[in-house]
Amino acid sequence: MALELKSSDNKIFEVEELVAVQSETIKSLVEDGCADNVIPLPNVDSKTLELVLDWCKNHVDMKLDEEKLKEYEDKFIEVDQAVLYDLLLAANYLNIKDLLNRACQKVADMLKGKTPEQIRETLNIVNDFSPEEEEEIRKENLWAFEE
Amino acid sequence: MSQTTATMGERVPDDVVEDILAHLPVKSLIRFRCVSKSWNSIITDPTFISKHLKLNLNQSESSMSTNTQSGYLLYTTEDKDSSSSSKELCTVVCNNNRTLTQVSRFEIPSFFDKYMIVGFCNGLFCLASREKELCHIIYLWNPSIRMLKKLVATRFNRKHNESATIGFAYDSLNNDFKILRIVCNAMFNESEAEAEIYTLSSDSWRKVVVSMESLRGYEPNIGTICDVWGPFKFYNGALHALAFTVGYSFILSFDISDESFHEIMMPRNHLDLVSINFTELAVYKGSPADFVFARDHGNERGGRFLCHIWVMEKYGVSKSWTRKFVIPMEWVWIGHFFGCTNNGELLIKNATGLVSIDPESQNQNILAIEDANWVAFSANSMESLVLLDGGSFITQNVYTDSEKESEEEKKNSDVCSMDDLGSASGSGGGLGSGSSGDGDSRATS
Repeated sequence: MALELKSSDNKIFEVEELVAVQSETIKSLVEDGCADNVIPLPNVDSKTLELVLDWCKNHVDMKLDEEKLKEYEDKFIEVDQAVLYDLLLAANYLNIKDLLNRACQKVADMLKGKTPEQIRETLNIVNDFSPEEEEEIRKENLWAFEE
Repeated sequence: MSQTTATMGERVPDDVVEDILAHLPVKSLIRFRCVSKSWNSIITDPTFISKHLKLNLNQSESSMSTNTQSGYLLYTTEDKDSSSSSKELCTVVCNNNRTLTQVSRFEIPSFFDKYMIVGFCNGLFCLASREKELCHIIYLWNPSIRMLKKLVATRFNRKHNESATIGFAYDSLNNDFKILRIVCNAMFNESEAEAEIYTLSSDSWRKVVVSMESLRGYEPNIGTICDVWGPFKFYNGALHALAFTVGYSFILSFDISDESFHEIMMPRNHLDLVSINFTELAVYKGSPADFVFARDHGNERGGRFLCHIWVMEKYGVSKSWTRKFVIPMEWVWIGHFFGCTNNGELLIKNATGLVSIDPESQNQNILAIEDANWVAFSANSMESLVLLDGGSFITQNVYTDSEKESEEEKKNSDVCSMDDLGSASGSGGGLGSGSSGDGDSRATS
Protein backbone atom coordinates (compact mmCIF):
# COMPACT_ATOMS: atom_id res chain seq x y z
CA MET A 1 0.00 0.00 0.00
CA ALA A 2 1.35 3.38 -0.90
CA LEU A 3 1.13 6.66 0.96
CA GLU A 4 1.59 10.16 -0.28
CA LEU A 5 3.67 12.63 1.68
CA LYS A 6 3.92 16.33 0.94
CA SER A 7 7.00 18.31 1.91
CA SER A 8 6.99 21.91 3.10
CA ASP A 9 7.87 23.05 -0.40
CA ASN A 10 4.88 21.19 -1.81
CA LYS A 11 6.64 18.25 -3.40
CA ILE A 12 4.75 14.96 -3.27
CA PHE A 13 6.53 11.72 -2.40
CA GLU A 14 4.90 8.37 -2.93
CA VAL A 15 6.13 5.73 -0.49
CA GLU A 16 5.32 2.20 0.56
CA GLU A 17 3.43 2.11 3.85
CA LEU A 18 6.01 -0.30 5.27
CA VAL A 19 8.72 2.28 4.66
CA ALA A 20 6.75 5.29 5.87
CA VAL A 21 5.64 3.79 9.16
CA GLN A 22 9.24 3.76 10.39
CA SER A 23 8.11 7.20 11.41
CA GLU A 24 6.02 6.80 14.54
CA THR A 25 4.26 10.03 13.66
CA ILE A 26 3.11 8.70 10.30
CA LYS A 27 2.36 5.32 11.86
CA SER A 28 -0.13 6.90 14.28
CA LEU A 29 -1.81 8.74 11.43
CA VAL A 30 -2.18 5.49 9.51
CA GLU A 31 -3.55 3.68 12.55
CA ASP A 32 -6.01 6.48 13.19
CA GLY A 33 -7.20 6.22 9.64
CA CYS A 34 -6.06 9.72 8.68
CA ALA A 35 -3.72 8.66 5.92
CA ASP A 36 -6.10 8.31 3.05
CA ASN A 37 -5.23 11.62 1.52
CA VAL A 38 -1.89 13.26 1.08
CA ILE A 39 -0.12 13.67 4.40
CA PRO A 40 1.29 17.18 4.76
CA LEU A 41 4.67 17.54 6.48
CA PRO A 42 5.09 21.31 6.83
CA ASN A 43 8.22 20.95 8.92
CA VAL A 44 10.29 18.98 6.45
CA ASP A 45 11.58 20.28 3.12
CA SER A 46 11.86 18.05 0.07
CA LYS A 47 15.63 17.75 0.19
CA THR A 48 15.53 16.46 3.74
CA LEU A 49 12.47 14.31 3.19
CA GLU A 50 14.19 12.57 0.33
CA LEU A 51 17.12 11.69 2.58
CA VAL A 52 14.84 10.56 5.38
CA LEU A 53 12.87 8.30 3.08
CA ASP A 54 16.10 6.82 1.78
CA TRP A 55 17.05 5.96 5.37
CA CYS A 56 13.67 4.38 5.99
CA LYS A 57 13.72 2.37 2.78
CA ASN A 58 17.18 1.00 3.46
CA HIS A 59 16.19 0.05 6.98
CA VAL A 60 13.40 -2.06 5.55
CA ASP A 61 15.60 -3.58 2.83
CA MET A 62 18.66 -4.28 4.93
CA LYS A 63 16.83 -5.27 8.09
CA LEU A 64 18.47 -8.66 8.29
CA ASP A 65 21.98 -7.64 7.33
CA GLU A 66 23.45 -5.88 10.36
CA GLU A 67 26.85 -5.27 8.87
CA LYS A 68 25.53 -3.82 5.63
CA LEU A 69 23.15 -1.62 7.56
CA LYS A 70 25.88 -0.28 9.78
CA GLU A 71 27.99 0.51 6.72
CA TYR A 72 25.06 2.36 5.19
CA GLU A 73 24.34 4.29 8.38
CA ASP A 74 27.96 5.36 8.78
CA LYS A 75 28.05 6.70 5.24
CA PHE A 76 24.62 8.26 5.47
CA ILE A 77 25.44 10.38 8.48
CA GLU A 78 28.56 11.89 6.92
CA VAL A 79 26.87 15.09 5.88
CA ASP A 80 27.64 18.71 6.50
CA GLN A 81 26.37 20.46 9.58
CA ALA A 82 23.40 22.18 8.00
CA VAL A 83 22.07 18.95 6.52
CA LEU A 84 22.77 17.14 9.79
CA TYR A 85 20.62 19.56 11.71
CA ASP A 86 17.84 19.32 9.17
CA LEU A 87 17.94 15.55 9.53
CA LEU A 88 17.96 15.85 13.30
CA LEU A 89 14.89 18.04 13.36
CA ALA A 90 13.10 15.91 10.79
CA ALA A 91 13.83 12.74 12.73
CA ASN A 92 12.47 14.39 15.84
CA TYR A 93 9.35 15.68 14.14
CA LEU A 94 8.67 12.40 12.37
CA ASN A 95 9.71 10.40 15.42
CA ILE A 96 12.13 8.01 13.72
CA LYS A 97 14.05 6.65 16.70
CA ASP A 98 17.09 5.12 15.08
CA LEU A 99 17.72 8.11 12.83
CA LEU A 100 17.29 10.48 15.75
CA ASN A 101 19.72 8.42 17.80
CA ARG A 102 22.32 8.36 15.05
CA ALA A 103 22.01 12.06 14.30
CA CYS A 104 22.25 12.96 17.99
CA GLN A 105 25.35 10.81 18.34
CA LYS A 106 26.95 12.57 15.39
CA VAL A 107 26.19 16.02 16.78
CA ALA A 108 27.41 14.93 20.22
CA ASP A 109 30.68 13.74 18.68
CA MET A 110 31.11 17.19 17.16
CA LEU A 111 30.45 18.94 20.43
CA LYS A 112 32.26 16.79 22.92
CA GLY A 113 35.72 18.28 22.95
CA LYS A 114 34.59 21.88 23.00
CA THR A 115 34.75 24.47 25.74
CA PRO A 116 31.55 26.06 27.05
CA GLU A 117 32.40 29.21 25.11
CA GLN A 118 32.66 27.30 21.88
CA ILE A 119 29.38 25.55 22.56
CA ARG A 120 27.63 28.87 23.07
CA GLU A 121 29.02 30.13 19.80
CA THR A 122 28.15 27.03 17.81
CA LEU A 123 24.61 26.82 19.10
CA ASN A 124 24.01 30.50 19.62
CA ILE A 125 23.27 30.21 23.32
CA VAL A 126 23.31 33.18 25.65
CA ASN A 127 25.31 32.81 28.84
CA ASP A 128 22.89 33.76 31.60
CA PHE A 129 25.26 32.87 34.44
CA SER A 130 26.90 35.62 36.44
CA PRO A 131 30.70 35.38 36.47
CA GLU A 132 30.55 34.26 40.12
CA GLU A 133 28.01 31.52 39.41
CA GLU A 134 30.03 30.20 36.50
CA GLU A 135 33.21 30.30 38.55
CA GLU A 136 31.51 28.27 41.29
CA ILE A 137 30.75 25.43 38.90
CA ARG A 138 34.22 25.51 37.39
CA LYS A 139 35.87 25.44 40.79
CA GLU A 140 33.98 22.34 41.87
CA ASN A 141 34.84 20.55 38.66
CA LEU A 142 38.36 21.68 37.76
CA TRP A 143 39.23 18.24 36.45
CA ALA A 144 36.61 18.52 33.69
CA PHE A 145 38.35 21.59 32.29
CA GLU A 146 41.82 20.12 32.25
CA GLU A 147 43.62 18.55 29.30
CA MET B 1 30.34 31.66 11.96
CA SER B 2 28.26 30.75 8.97
CA GLN B 3 24.73 31.92 8.89
CA THR B 4 23.37 28.40 8.90
CA THR B 5 25.01 27.51 12.19
CA ALA B 6 23.69 30.61 13.86
CA THR B 7 20.18 29.73 12.77
CA MET B 8 20.72 26.14 13.87
CA GLY B 9 21.15 27.08 17.49
CA GLU B 10 17.85 28.87 17.56
CA ARG B 11 15.98 26.10 15.84
CA VAL B 12 16.93 23.20 18.08
CA PRO B 13 14.12 22.59 20.55
CA ASP B 14 14.83 21.64 24.17
CA ASP B 15 13.88 18.00 23.90
CA VAL B 16 16.30 17.55 21.01
CA VAL B 17 19.00 19.31 23.02
CA GLU B 18 18.38 16.75 25.75
CA ASP B 19 18.68 13.89 23.28
CA ILE B 20 21.99 15.26 22.05
CA LEU B 21 23.29 15.77 25.57
CA ALA B 22 22.38 12.19 26.47
CA HIS B 23 24.94 11.03 23.92
CA LEU B 24 27.80 13.03 25.40
CA PRO B 25 30.52 11.60 27.61
CA VAL B 26 30.48 12.48 31.30
CA LYS B 27 33.45 14.84 31.23
CA SER B 28 31.91 16.99 28.50
CA LEU B 29 28.59 17.13 30.31
CA ILE B 30 30.15 18.35 33.53
CA ARG B 31 31.99 21.02 31.57
CA PHE B 32 28.83 22.02 29.74
CA ARG B 33 27.05 22.76 33.00
CA CYS B 34 28.66 26.19 32.54
CA VAL B 35 27.09 26.85 29.16
CA SER B 36 23.86 28.27 30.50
CA LYS B 37 21.42 27.94 33.39
CA SER B 38 19.11 25.90 31.21
CA TRP B 39 21.85 23.41 30.29
CA ASN B 40 22.91 23.20 33.93
CA SER B 41 19.41 22.29 35.07
CA ILE B 42 19.00 19.73 32.27
CA ILE B 43 22.30 18.04 33.09
CA THR B 44 21.68 17.87 36.83
CA ASP B 45 18.09 16.74 36.53
CA PRO B 46 17.41 13.19 37.83
CA THR B 47 15.32 12.30 34.78
CA PHE B 48 18.17 13.27 32.47
CA ILE B 49 20.70 11.40 34.60
CA SER B 50 18.54 8.31 34.30
CA LYS B 51 18.15 8.80 30.55
CA HIS B 52 21.89 9.18 30.11
CA LEU B 53 22.50 6.05 32.19
CA LYS B 54 20.06 3.94 30.18
CA LEU B 55 21.53 5.10 26.90
CA ASN B 56 25.02 4.25 28.07
CA LEU B 57 23.84 0.85 29.31
CA ASN B 58 22.34 0.03 25.91
CA GLN B 59 25.46 1.14 24.13
CA SER B 60 27.78 -0.81 26.37
CA GLU B 61 25.61 -3.89 26.05
CA SER B 62 25.70 -3.80 22.28
CA SER B 63 29.45 -3.36 22.25
CA MET B 64 30.14 -6.11 24.75
CA SER B 65 30.77 -8.98 22.41
CA THR B 66 33.13 -7.44 19.94
CA ASN B 67 35.89 -8.86 17.85
CA THR B 68 38.64 -6.90 19.49
CA GLN B 69 38.14 -7.11 23.21
CA SER B 70 36.92 -9.44 25.89
CA GLY B 71 36.07 -7.28 28.85
CA TYR B 72 37.80 -4.96 31.27
CA LEU B 73 39.92 -5.15 34.36
CA LEU B 74 39.51 -2.65 37.14
CA TYR B 75 42.20 -2.38 39.77
CA THR B 76 43.55 -0.15 42.50
CA THR B 77 47.18 0.66 42.81
CA GLU B 78 49.63 3.05 44.39
CA ASP B 79 50.53 5.97 42.16
CA LYS B 80 54.28 5.75 42.35
CA ASP B 81 54.92 8.81 40.21
CA SER B 82 52.99 11.22 42.34
CA SER B 83 54.73 12.66 45.37
CA SER B 84 51.60 12.44 47.47
CA SER B 85 51.56 8.66 46.93
CA SER B 86 47.84 8.55 46.30
CA LYS B 87 46.00 5.45 45.29
CA GLU B 88 44.39 5.23 41.90
CA LEU B 89 41.57 3.29 40.36
CA CYS B 90 42.52 2.15 36.87
CA THR B 91 40.50 0.58 34.11
CA VAL B 92 42.09 -1.32 31.25
CA VAL B 93 40.49 -3.11 28.35
CA CYS B 94 41.48 -6.72 27.70
CA ASN B 95 42.34 -6.89 24.03
CA ASN B 96 41.94 -10.24 22.35
CA ASN B 97 45.66 -10.39 21.68
CA ARG B 98 46.18 -10.45 25.43
CA THR B 99 47.45 -6.89 25.69
CA LEU B 100 45.88 -4.38 28.01
CA THR B 101 45.09 -0.80 27.05
CA GLN B 102 44.39 1.86 29.62
CA VAL B 103 40.93 3.36 29.49
CA SER B 104 40.84 5.54 32.56
CA ARG B 105 42.63 6.40 35.76
CA PHE B 106 41.04 8.11 38.74
CA GLU B 107 42.48 9.24 42.02
CA ILE B 108 40.98 7.53 45.05
CA PRO B 109 40.14 9.85 47.97
CA SER B 110 42.68 9.19 50.70
CA PHE B 111 40.13 8.54 53.43
CA PHE B 112 38.98 5.50 51.48
CA ASP B 113 41.99 3.75 53.01
CA LYS B 114 39.71 2.67 55.81
CA TYR B 115 37.11 1.32 53.39
CA MET B 116 36.87 -1.61 51.08
CA ILE B 117 35.10 -2.02 47.79
CA VAL B 118 32.14 -4.34 48.31
CA GLY B 119 30.74 -4.00 44.83
CA PHE B 120 30.60 -1.94 41.67
CA CYS B 121 28.09 -1.65 38.93
CA ASN B 122 27.67 0.54 35.88
CA GLY B 123 30.29 3.05 36.92
CA LEU B 124 29.20 3.31 40.54
CA PHE B 125 31.20 1.83 43.42
CA CYS B 126 30.04 0.85 46.88
CA LEU B 127 32.49 0.95 49.76
CA ALA B 128 31.97 -0.14 53.36
CA SER B 129 33.98 0.76 56.37
CA ARG B 130 36.51 -1.73 57.66
CA GLU B 131 36.99 -0.40 61.14
CA LYS B 132 33.34 -0.24 62.00
CA GLU B 133 32.80 -3.94 61.84
CA LEU B 134 29.11 -3.81 61.34
CA CYS B 135 29.68 -1.59 58.32
CA HIS B 136 27.04 0.94 59.06
CA ILE B 137 28.95 3.65 57.21
CA ILE B 138 28.79 3.04 53.49
CA TYR B 139 29.89 5.21 50.60
CA LEU B 140 28.66 5.32 47.03
CA TRP B 141 31.37 6.63 44.74
CA ASN B 142 31.20 7.70 41.12
CA PRO B 143 34.84 8.21 40.14
CA SER B 144 34.06 9.53 36.66
CA ILE B 145 32.40 12.65 38.04
CA ARG B 146 34.44 12.74 41.25
CA MET B 147 31.42 12.52 43.52
CA LEU B 148 30.53 10.45 46.50
CA LYS B 149 27.61 9.96 48.81
CA LYS B 150 27.78 8.92 52.42
CA LEU B 151 25.14 6.54 53.71
CA VAL B 152 24.49 5.69 57.33
CA ALA B 153 22.76 2.38 57.95
CA THR B 154 21.20 1.12 61.16
CA ARG B 155 23.67 0.99 63.92
CA PHE B 156 23.30 -2.27 65.77
CA ASN B 157 24.57 -2.67 69.28
CA ARG B 158 27.25 -5.27 69.13
CA LYS B 159 26.57 -7.79 71.83
CA HIS B 160 27.98 -11.07 70.72
CA ASN B 161 29.51 -11.98 67.45
CA GLU B 162 27.39 -10.14 65.01
CA SER B 163 28.83 -9.49 61.62
CA ALA B 164 27.53 -7.60 58.62
CA THR B 165 27.56 -8.50 54.97
CA ILE B 166 26.96 -6.03 52.17
CA GLY B 167 25.79 -6.44 48.59
CA PHE B 168 25.52 -3.78 45.87
CA ALA B 169 23.59 -4.07 42.63
CA TYR B 170 21.69 -2.30 39.88
CA ASP B 171 18.04 -3.21 39.55
CA SER B 172 17.47 -2.84 35.82
CA LEU B 173 13.75 -3.50 36.11
CA ASN B 174 13.23 -0.52 38.36
CA ASN B 175 16.22 1.56 37.20
CA ASP B 176 17.59 1.81 40.69
CA PHE B 177 20.79 1.11 42.56
CA LYS B 178 20.33 -0.92 45.72
CA ILE B 179 22.41 -1.98 48.69
CA LEU B 180 21.63 -5.01 50.85
CA ARG B 181 22.99 -5.23 54.38
CA ILE B 182 22.58 -8.35 56.49
CA VAL B 183 23.62 -8.56 60.11
CA CYS B 184 23.89 -12.05 61.57
CA ASN B 185 24.66 -13.43 64.96
CA ALA B 186 27.18 -16.22 64.92
CA MET B 187 25.78 -17.68 68.13
CA PHE B 188 23.31 -20.22 66.87
CA ASN B 189 19.68 -19.35 67.41
CA GLU B 190 20.47 -16.30 69.49
CA SER B 191 18.58 -13.97 67.22
CA GLU B 192 17.26 -13.73 63.72
CA ALA B 193 19.46 -12.35 61.01
CA GLU B 194 18.40 -8.82 60.25
CA ALA B 195 18.46 -7.29 56.83
CA GLU B 196 17.86 -3.88 55.39
CA ILE B 197 17.94 -2.49 51.91
CA TYR B 198 18.92 0.94 50.61
CA THR B 199 17.58 2.28 47.34
CA LEU B 200 19.15 5.30 45.67
CA SER B 201 15.82 6.46 44.29
CA SER B 202 14.33 6.84 47.77
CA ASP B 203 17.68 7.62 49.43
CA SER B 204 16.59 5.64 52.46
CA TRP B 205 16.96 2.32 54.23
CA ARG B 206 14.11 -0.10 54.72
CA LYS B 207 13.94 -3.31 56.71
CA VAL B 208 13.63 -6.58 54.81
CA VAL B 209 12.45 -9.77 56.43
CA VAL B 210 14.85 -12.67 56.12
CA SER B 211 12.38 -15.45 56.24
CA MET B 212 13.57 -19.00 56.16
CA GLU B 213 10.07 -20.11 55.16
CA SER B 214 10.62 -18.48 51.84
CA LEU B 215 13.56 -20.76 51.31
CA ARG B 216 12.56 -23.99 49.70
CA GLY B 217 14.07 -27.36 50.42
CA TYR B 218 14.29 -28.43 54.02
CA GLU B 219 11.93 -28.57 56.99
CA PRO B 220 10.96 -25.26 58.55
CA ASN B 221 12.39 -24.14 61.84
CA ILE B 222 15.94 -25.19 61.15
CA GLY B 223 17.17 -22.08 62.79
CA THR B 224 18.47 -18.78 61.67
CA ILE B 225 21.25 -17.83 59.34
CA CYS B 226 24.26 -17.47 61.59
CA ASP B 227 26.92 -16.36 59.17
CA VAL B 228 27.25 -14.95 55.69
CA TRP B 229 30.55 -14.69 53.87
CA GLY B 230 30.48 -11.56 51.80
CA PRO B 231 30.51 -9.34 50.04
CA PHE B 232 27.66 -10.52 47.85
CA LYS B 233 28.35 -11.14 44.18
CA PHE B 234 25.78 -9.92 41.69
CA TYR B 235 24.73 -12.01 38.72
CA ASN B 236 21.56 -13.44 37.19
CA GLY B 237 19.65 -10.52 38.65
CA ALA B 238 20.42 -11.51 42.24
CA LEU B 239 23.01 -11.04 44.96
CA HIS B 240 24.68 -14.24 46.08
CA ALA B 241 26.80 -15.19 49.09
CA LEU B 242 27.77 -18.30 50.99
CA ALA B 243 25.67 -18.58 54.13
CA PHE B 244 25.71 -20.89 57.14
CA THR B 245 23.00 -22.21 59.35
CA VAL B 246 22.89 -25.12 61.78
CA GLY B 247 24.55 -28.05 60.13
CA TYR B 248 25.08 -26.90 56.61
CA SER B 249 26.07 -24.17 54.23
CA PHE B 250 24.14 -22.88 51.26
CA ILE B 251 24.10 -19.98 48.83
CA LEU B 252 21.85 -17.21 49.99
CA SER B 253 20.48 -15.36 47.01
CA PHE B 254 18.54 -12.12 47.01
CA ASP B 255 16.54 -11.18 43.93
CA ILE B 256 17.24 -7.51 43.48
CA SER B 257 13.99 -6.63 41.74
CA ASP B 258 11.38 -8.35 43.85
CA GLU B 259 13.61 -8.27 46.93
CA SER B 260 13.05 -11.88 47.94
CA PHE B 261 15.48 -14.31 49.51
CA HIS B 262 16.15 -17.76 48.13
CA GLU B 263 18.32 -20.67 49.02
CA ILE B 264 20.55 -22.58 46.65
CA MET B 265 21.92 -25.81 48.05
CA MET B 266 25.62 -26.53 47.88
CA PRO B 267 26.94 -29.93 46.81
CA ARG B 268 27.00 -32.34 49.71
CA ASN B 269 30.28 -32.57 51.58
CA HIS B 270 32.14 -30.43 49.09
CA LEU B 271 33.97 -28.75 51.92
CA ASP B 272 34.94 -32.05 53.52
CA LEU B 273 38.51 -31.74 52.47
CA VAL B 274 41.49 -31.62 54.72
CA SER B 275 43.13 -28.26 55.24
CA ILE B 276 40.92 -25.86 53.41
CA ASN B 277 42.63 -22.53 53.17
CA PHE B 278 39.53 -20.70 52.06
CA THR B 279 36.52 -20.96 49.79
CA GLU B 280 34.92 -18.27 47.72
CA LEU B 281 31.96 -17.93 45.41
CA ALA B 282 32.39 -16.44 41.95
CA VAL B 283 30.91 -16.75 38.47
CA TYR B 284 32.45 -19.22 36.05
CA LYS B 285 31.36 -18.54 32.48
CA GLY B 286 27.94 -17.34 33.58
CA SER B 287 27.29 -20.10 36.13
CA PRO B 288 27.56 -19.92 39.91
CA ALA B 289 30.78 -21.53 41.05
CA ASP B 290 32.53 -22.25 44.32
CA PHE B 291 36.30 -22.10 44.44
CA VAL B 292 37.87 -24.13 47.23
CA PHE B 293 41.55 -23.50 47.86
CA ALA B 294 43.00 -26.35 49.86
CA ARG B 295 46.12 -28.27 50.65
CA ASP B 296 46.40 -31.66 49.06
CA HIS B 297 47.91 -34.21 51.40
CA GLY B 298 47.01 -37.14 49.21
CA ASN B 299 49.97 -36.44 46.99
CA GLU B 300 53.13 -38.38 47.67
CA ARG B 301 55.20 -35.25 47.27
CA GLY B 302 53.00 -33.84 49.97
CA GLY B 303 51.89 -30.32 50.64
CA ARG B 304 50.61 -29.47 47.18
CA PHE B 305 48.10 -26.71 46.94
CA LEU B 306 44.96 -27.22 44.92
CA CYS B 307 42.02 -25.20 43.73
CA HIS B 308 38.80 -27.20 43.39
CA ILE B 309 36.26 -25.55 41.14
CA TRP B 310 32.64 -26.57 41.61
CA VAL B 311 30.26 -25.27 38.99
CA MET B 312 26.48 -25.29 39.17
CA GLU B 313 25.84 -26.09 35.52
CA LYS B 314 22.16 -25.28 35.73
CA TYR B 315 21.29 -22.23 37.78
CA GLY B 316 19.26 -23.12 40.86
CA VAL B 317 19.43 -26.87 40.31
CA SER B 318 21.60 -28.19 43.11
CA LYS B 319 21.94 -31.63 41.52
CA SER B 320 23.83 -29.94 38.71
CA TRP B 321 26.83 -29.07 40.88
CA THR B 322 29.91 -30.57 39.27
CA ARG B 323 33.48 -30.50 40.43
CA LYS B 324 34.69 -29.30 37.07
CA PHE B 325 38.38 -28.72 37.72
CA VAL B 326 41.07 -29.42 40.25
CA ILE B 327 44.04 -27.22 39.53
CA PRO B 328 47.40 -27.40 41.24
CA MET B 329 48.80 -23.99 41.91
CA GLU B 330 51.06 -21.82 43.99
CA TRP B 331 49.83 -20.82 47.41
CA VAL B 332 47.06 -18.20 47.36
CA TRP B 333 46.19 -16.12 50.39
CA ILE B 334 42.61 -15.37 51.27
CA GLY B 335 41.64 -12.13 49.63
CA HIS B 336 43.92 -12.74 46.68
CA PHE B 337 41.41 -14.52 44.49
CA PHE B 338 39.51 -11.96 42.46
CA GLY B 339 36.93 -13.97 40.57
CA CYS B 340 36.96 -14.97 36.91
CA THR B 341 37.01 -13.26 33.55
CA ASN B 342 34.43 -13.85 30.83
CA ASN B 343 36.64 -16.61 29.48
CA GLY B 344 36.64 -18.39 32.81
CA GLU B 345 40.20 -17.47 33.73
CA LEU B 346 40.88 -17.07 37.44
CA LEU B 347 42.31 -13.76 38.56
CA ILE B 348 44.83 -14.48 41.26
CA LYS B 349 47.61 -12.70 43.07
CA ASN B 350 50.33 -15.17 43.99
CA ALA B 351 54.06 -15.10 44.54
CA THR B 352 54.59 -14.42 40.83
CA GLY B 353 52.32 -11.41 40.90
CA LEU B 354 48.94 -10.77 39.37
CA VAL B 355 48.09 -13.63 37.04
CA SER B 356 45.19 -15.14 35.18
CA ILE B 357 44.95 -18.90 35.20
CA ASP B 358 43.01 -20.85 32.60
CA PRO B 359 41.46 -23.82 34.40
CA GLU B 360 41.30 -25.95 31.24
CA SER B 361 44.88 -25.61 30.12
CA GLN B 362 46.18 -24.66 33.58
CA ASN B 363 48.26 -22.00 31.85
CA GLN B 364 49.19 -19.04 33.93
CA ASN B 365 49.43 -15.63 32.28
CA ILE B 366 51.13 -12.77 34.02
CA LEU B 367 49.01 -9.66 33.75
CA ALA B 368 50.82 -6.55 32.67
CA ILE B 369 49.41 -4.55 35.52
CA GLU B 370 51.43 -2.69 38.07
CA ASP B 371 51.22 -3.99 41.61
CA ALA B 372 47.51 -4.00 42.42
CA ASN B 373 45.73 -4.34 45.75
CA TRP B 374 42.32 -5.08 44.38
CA VAL B 375 41.30 -6.36 40.96
CA ALA B 376 38.03 -7.20 39.35
CA PHE B 377 36.80 -8.19 35.94
CA SER B 378 33.95 -6.31 34.34
CA ALA B 379 32.12 -7.12 31.14
CA ASN B 380 31.45 -3.46 30.48
CA SER B 381 33.09 -0.17 31.20
CA MET B 382 30.82 2.75 31.56
CA GLU B 383 30.53 6.11 33.11
CA SER B 384 27.40 7.80 34.33
CA LEU B 385 26.18 10.93 36.03
CA VAL B 386 24.65 9.03 38.93
CA LEU B 387 25.12 10.96 42.19
CA LEU B 388 25.40 14.29 40.36
CA ASP B 389 22.02 15.30 41.75
CA GLY B 390 22.61 14.27 45.32
CA GLY B 391 26.20 13.55 46.16
CA SER B 392 29.14 15.52 47.47
CA PHE B 393 32.11 16.70 45.49
CA ILE B 394 35.38 15.12 46.37
CA THR B 395 37.42 17.92 47.81
CA GLN B 396 39.81 18.23 50.69
CA ASN B 397 36.87 19.28 52.87
CA VAL B 398 35.20 15.94 52.50
CA TYR B 399 38.27 14.24 53.89
CA THR B 400 38.56 16.45 56.95
CA ASP B 401 34.80 16.41 57.63
CA SER B 402 34.88 12.65 57.58
CA GLU B 403 37.67 12.58 60.14
CA LYS B 404 35.82 14.97 62.42
CA GLU B 405 32.74 12.81 62.21
CA SER B 406 34.45 9.63 63.18
CA GLU B 407 35.87 11.40 66.22
CA GLU B 408 32.38 12.46 67.27
CA GLU B 409 30.96 9.05 66.68
CA LYS B 410 33.49 7.48 68.97
CA LYS B 411 32.61 9.92 71.74
CA ASN B 412 28.86 9.52 71.48
CA SER B 413 28.87 5.91 70.59
CA ASP B 414 27.38 3.26 72.77
CA VAL B 415 28.49 0.70 70.29
CA CYS B 416 31.38 -1.48 71.24
CA SER B 417 33.57 -0.70 68.29
CA MET B 418 36.90 -1.96 67.16
CA ASP B 419 38.99 1.01 68.10
CA ASP B 420 42.16 -0.40 66.80
CA LEU B 421 42.07 1.55 63.57
CA GLY B 422 45.19 0.35 61.93
CA SER B 423 44.72 -3.31 62.46
CA ALA B 424 41.92 -4.57 60.27
CA SER B 425 43.27 -8.06 60.57
CA GLY B 426 45.79 -9.09 58.05
CA SER B 427 45.45 -6.21 55.68
CA GLY B 428 47.64 -3.24 55.16
CA GLY B 429 44.88 -0.75 54.79
CA GLY B 430 41.68 0.00 53.07
CA LEU B 431 41.27 -0.90 49.51
CA GLY B 432 44.04 -3.32 50.16
CA SER B 433 43.32 -6.93 50.58
CA GLY B 434 40.58 -7.79 48.17
CA SER B 435 36.88 -7.77 48.30
CA SER B 436 36.10 -10.77 50.38
CA GLY B 437 36.78 -9.46 53.83
CA ASP B 438 39.97 -9.39 55.73
CA GLY B 439 42.21 -11.94 57.34
CA ASP B 440 40.53 -14.54 59.45
CA SER B 441 37.25 -12.87 60.11
CA ARG B 442 35.72 -13.80 56.83
CA ALA B 443 32.26 -12.87 57.84
CA THR B 444 32.91 -9.21 58.13
CA SER B 445 32.75 -7.17 55.04
